[in-house]
Amino acid sequence: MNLESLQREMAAAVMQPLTADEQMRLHAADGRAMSDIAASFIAPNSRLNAFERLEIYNRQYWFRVLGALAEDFAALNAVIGSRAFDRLSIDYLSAHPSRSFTLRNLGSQLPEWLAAHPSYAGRRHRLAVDVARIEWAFIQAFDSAEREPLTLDQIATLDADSRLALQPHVQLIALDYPADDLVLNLHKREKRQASEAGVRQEDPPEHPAKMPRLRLRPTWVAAHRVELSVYYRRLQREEFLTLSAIAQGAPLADAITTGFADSRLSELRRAQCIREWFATWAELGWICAPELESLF
Amino acid sequence: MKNQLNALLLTAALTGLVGGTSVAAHAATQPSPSAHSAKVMKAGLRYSGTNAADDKHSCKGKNDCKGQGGCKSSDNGCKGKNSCKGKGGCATDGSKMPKAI
Repeated sequence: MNLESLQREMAAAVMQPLTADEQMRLHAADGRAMSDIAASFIAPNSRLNAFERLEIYNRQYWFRVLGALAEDFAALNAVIGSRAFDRLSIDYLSAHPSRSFTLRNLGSQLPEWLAAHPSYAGRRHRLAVDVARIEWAFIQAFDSAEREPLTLDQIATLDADSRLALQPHVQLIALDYPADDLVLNLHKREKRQASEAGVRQEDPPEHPAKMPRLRLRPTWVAAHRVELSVYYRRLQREEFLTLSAIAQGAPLADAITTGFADSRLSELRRAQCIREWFATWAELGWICAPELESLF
Repeated sequence: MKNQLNALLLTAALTGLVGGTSVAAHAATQPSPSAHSAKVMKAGLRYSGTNAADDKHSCKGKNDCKGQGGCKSSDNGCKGKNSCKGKGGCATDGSKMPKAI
């Protein structure tokens, strides 16, 4: 067995889901006995046979990735309940195993994956997708890059055809529900419970958390970072559309036109809004010059 | 008429950019609690526990320092089995953890 085959065999064994009682499965997906697979590249020691030694890595992989995902999506866990969340986590991580050097990226596909797999959240499916999107946006806002905001000298050169860019840490989210407050409250509750429990790690409730009834209401949010903290800022629909167009590289005048497509705001109000929004975005450092490579 | 409106909106955007950038530049050169709080008020709602100064584990769960709590599953797979010793999976004593799996 060459090194690449060995690595693939090991990875497949380690990433294979555990049994219901958290043991290594007896057989691989292709039907081979795991004891034979383990024995083909792992030597036993005085206490553990090859299967048991491989099982340690198999279990550690799953405990680690499941724990990491539960930390990153604590509100989703509360919304659908830990029993459904555990099932969702195993199925999601089987479809999208860790491929990165960092666990930070583990949930990168979860919002899209959950949107395509409605069975895990039942009647709360759309809410669950919103919550997952907010929690993933938080992770991106927390550690994405921060570039130099636009300077006054650069602003002096702008015209209708100028293209701008957003700070990489500004994450724009369009939601079906006003779920941002819910996520903030669930995270606060989780933090309070963790603090009250001290070092003791309490398992989250198996059943979905009781929560105020949310009505479907399109909501637009930006998750972003100020110094070392992440904030959620509600946006108006037109504001969201203008920012999205800027982020997609539309010329400034086109971005503004896009923002007000189908808008009911009066012309005077539009001018007021635009001035206020751009002032706030500039004050928060959201607007940058586009990176050179994006212009070609 | 439409061109006039577009010109008005473009002017409004540039005016806003100049105003906001000036405020930010002023706050950066003369940092004061009021300037900081004005920015924070515009930032929206703060996500709980993400300020590094508040929480020594502020990066827990958000970065590649994940796993600082050691074995966090209720059934610790490494408990009592020593094959994982020295690989960081069981560290709960502040010793360095591997940064990646």
